[in-house]
Amino acid sequence: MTALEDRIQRWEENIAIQELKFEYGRLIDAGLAGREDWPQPAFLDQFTDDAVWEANVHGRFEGKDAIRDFFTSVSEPVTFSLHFMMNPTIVCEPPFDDASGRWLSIETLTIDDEAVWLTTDYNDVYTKQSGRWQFRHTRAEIFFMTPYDTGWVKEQFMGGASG
Amino acid sequence: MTSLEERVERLEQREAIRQLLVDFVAGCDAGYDADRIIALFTTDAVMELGPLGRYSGAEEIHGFFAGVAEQIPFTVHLQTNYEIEIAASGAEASGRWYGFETPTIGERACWGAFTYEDTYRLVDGAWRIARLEQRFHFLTAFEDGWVKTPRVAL
Repeated sequence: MTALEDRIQRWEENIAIQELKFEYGRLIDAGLAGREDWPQPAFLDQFTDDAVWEANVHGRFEGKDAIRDFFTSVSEPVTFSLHFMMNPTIVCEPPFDDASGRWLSIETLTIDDEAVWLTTDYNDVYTKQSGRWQFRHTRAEIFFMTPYDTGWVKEQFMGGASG
Repeated sequence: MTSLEERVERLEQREAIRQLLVDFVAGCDAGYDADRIIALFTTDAVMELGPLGRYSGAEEIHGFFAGVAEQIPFTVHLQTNYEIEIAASGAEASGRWYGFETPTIGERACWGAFTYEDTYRLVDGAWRIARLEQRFHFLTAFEDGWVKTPRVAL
């Protein structure tokens, strides 16, 4: 493998990983709003069997089954979401079979019939199997999850709500 | 086996399409400059805006943006979540993206959220929007939020 090919592949993998994250958001947003059956097989296929998904306000879910159960339960209170994924930092080096990513997001949600603002700091680990990128670990540090007209200073994390 | 040059070409084309989308919203933010915007569409383009209507061909699309310019004196389009797939032919592509907007409608500050599923076509070496399909999520007054007021009147 030439140095030039590494440079090209680094760029290709960076884009492929970004699109994994965008598709993650898109599938959640289509599922929670009821445009697609939730959770879609395509969403669950984004995770390795032993994947971990954890968030400071939601807890830690180990394995694809636990992740599926958590995201299934989320669709009860959360009836609308848009995940605006921004500020990607993707690190992927030869032999290009694993990678890390850091993202910020702002999300507009409807939780228990209330409009909510949420921002997240994501730290992800990805792995490539059979030419496809998957999530092996997502750690979401939620900065705030606040009712639309309350704001993050008065109420950083809305009480009792999940999502 | 795809050559290295072909792989670079594909990355460059993807970036050219992303730039097309940035240019599109820049035209919207420049007072919905209809002449500038329409240059980014194919002449036979279709624009599906859901509750805001369907516009077919350059003339109808131009007319839509010229009209919006009077209703929306200010807006900023923030664009994220680009998913772009170039067809094997290299001359057609599809894309998805998210848009978050801060329009002034009449004299009211508003928030808008839309997602897009488009197709693009290479015309004389430049990517153009062949079909723009906008999904409406909310267009709400700043004070209200998307649950209280999902859609302000345009």
